[in-house]
Amino acid sequence: MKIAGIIAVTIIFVIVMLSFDPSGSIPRPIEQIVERVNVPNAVTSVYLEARLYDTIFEIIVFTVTALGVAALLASLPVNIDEGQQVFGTVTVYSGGLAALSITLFLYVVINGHITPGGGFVGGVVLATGVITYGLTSSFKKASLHYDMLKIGVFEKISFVLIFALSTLIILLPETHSQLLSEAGFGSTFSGGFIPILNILIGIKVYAGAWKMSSEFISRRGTL
Amino acid sequence: MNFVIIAISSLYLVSAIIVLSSRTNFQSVIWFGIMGSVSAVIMMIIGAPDVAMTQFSVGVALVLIVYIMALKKQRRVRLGFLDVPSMIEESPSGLRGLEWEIIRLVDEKEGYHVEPVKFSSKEDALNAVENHEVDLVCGAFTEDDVSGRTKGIPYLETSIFVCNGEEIDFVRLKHLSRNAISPTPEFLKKSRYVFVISMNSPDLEKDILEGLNEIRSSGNIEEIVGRYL
Amino acid sequence: MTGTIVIYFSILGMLVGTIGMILSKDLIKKILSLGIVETSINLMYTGISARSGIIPPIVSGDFSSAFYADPIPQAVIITGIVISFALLCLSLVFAIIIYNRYHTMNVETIEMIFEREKQ
Repeated sequence: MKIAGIIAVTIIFVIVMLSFDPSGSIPRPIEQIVERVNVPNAVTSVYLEARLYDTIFEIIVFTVTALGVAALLASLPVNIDEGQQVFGTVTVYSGGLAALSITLFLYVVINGHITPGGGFVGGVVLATGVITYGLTSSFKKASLHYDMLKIGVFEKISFVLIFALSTLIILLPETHSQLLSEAGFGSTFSGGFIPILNILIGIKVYAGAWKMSSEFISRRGTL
Repeated sequence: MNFVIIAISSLYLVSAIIVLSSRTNFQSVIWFGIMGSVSAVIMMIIGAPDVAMTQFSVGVALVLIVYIMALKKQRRVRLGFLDVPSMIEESPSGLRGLEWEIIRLVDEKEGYHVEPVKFSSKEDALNAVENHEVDLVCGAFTEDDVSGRTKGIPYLETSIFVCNGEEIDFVRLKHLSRNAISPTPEFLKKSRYVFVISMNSPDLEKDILEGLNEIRSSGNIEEIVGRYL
Repeated sequence: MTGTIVIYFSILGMLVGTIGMILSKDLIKKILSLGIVETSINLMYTGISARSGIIPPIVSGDFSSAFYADPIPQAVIITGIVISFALLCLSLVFAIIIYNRYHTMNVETIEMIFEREKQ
């Protein structure tokens, strides 16, 4: 049975490879995209203005998955930590790296329409920095910031605001062009609604990734 | 330019094949991280910097952390016990005794999390093991108690005596004679003490057998027995 | 030319991942093979985007005379990578729950226990 499956899969993939025609017509849509939104980074303007529907549904899927992971892991017992194994040389500069990742998050998210970056990249970078600090220095200190800074409240506010702003942009398609004529091409304030949306998406992705990873670490114990 | 892309892409294919043919799960996860890094390098050369940054952060760093958290061997072992002095008993500073020492040595090596459950009679404990409510039961059980019902891992030789019409084993006899009841025991047969284990956990059985072999070969078992008996 | 080479190699990567999913007996290796398939799909999309050129699509000034890469597949696949990480977390939670209940990660042993429990 398994050998028949393997042969069938190989034949299908070989047929796909042979039927790929590399001499089709090559699309070049970048002129129209940049003229429409007037922002240097074409990728950010694609997923935040031309294909805004896909971004909205991606955020819904991400939220539901984070809720599912938190609800399913609640049935396991919390691991009582006797002491975390740390190496002295790594603990010294892990705090500095966490602070550096916060700065990098702000730069990547606010300048998402000029340099490569955007909301998704910034959120994941900040989550990686904070989790690495928690694993090398002390996980208790890293998990205190979630309640102290009230990130749960900010996550829900940003979820509602993303929906409100995207409804506004889809219903009134002239909003971008009215805000964009303020500053010149390629400066920080010339993005219209794009930096605001990037910041909200960054907060949402960071909160989701942090919740999923911290549930894993607190139930299974640190390394 | 084409030659560079062909070289790095074949590196990507080779590491994808090595992920599937590794012997342990840990090695597969490390090679998966290497494969993700190589694909991020390809994306950077091709001209997609956004995608390369995302693939580096998500596909290498976060995925490695989550996999290693899931692969760690952390499981709960529910341990049922009967209160038998100098074998396993409760004291103000926790559990102590001969069997508790052996179980603790095995568990610390593997990283288990032990939850003790107390029973009051041998029948209750054996029924609980058969219904898979507990994983492991100890408390001076001999081979005759478990024969035909469930599995037992022997670890120490002993003898069974007949006293006042009942069959009791060596440790209980010593406890009785210490309490100033002086019976006249008759020697019946030789037997062995066992750890009673449920049929549902083959990996726990393998770990206890390996731990017992290690304790026997390093000679520690005489010292531990001499301390408690 | 470079985009076509990357597309061919990524289809081979998908083949390796699918065969791994069929043949492996361990639950963790099956989830890892699904990750191989998803990484190859991400590579294929950037290969499609590289057929229009290999300069990153960040324009500056006059841009009618250079071959920029196509920005639309890149925007689609960035959201895809984050979703695939979330689904990987969910499937690992299920693997942990199965291991806590049946104490083994071997797929054939779990199927035998299922058959026994049904009776």
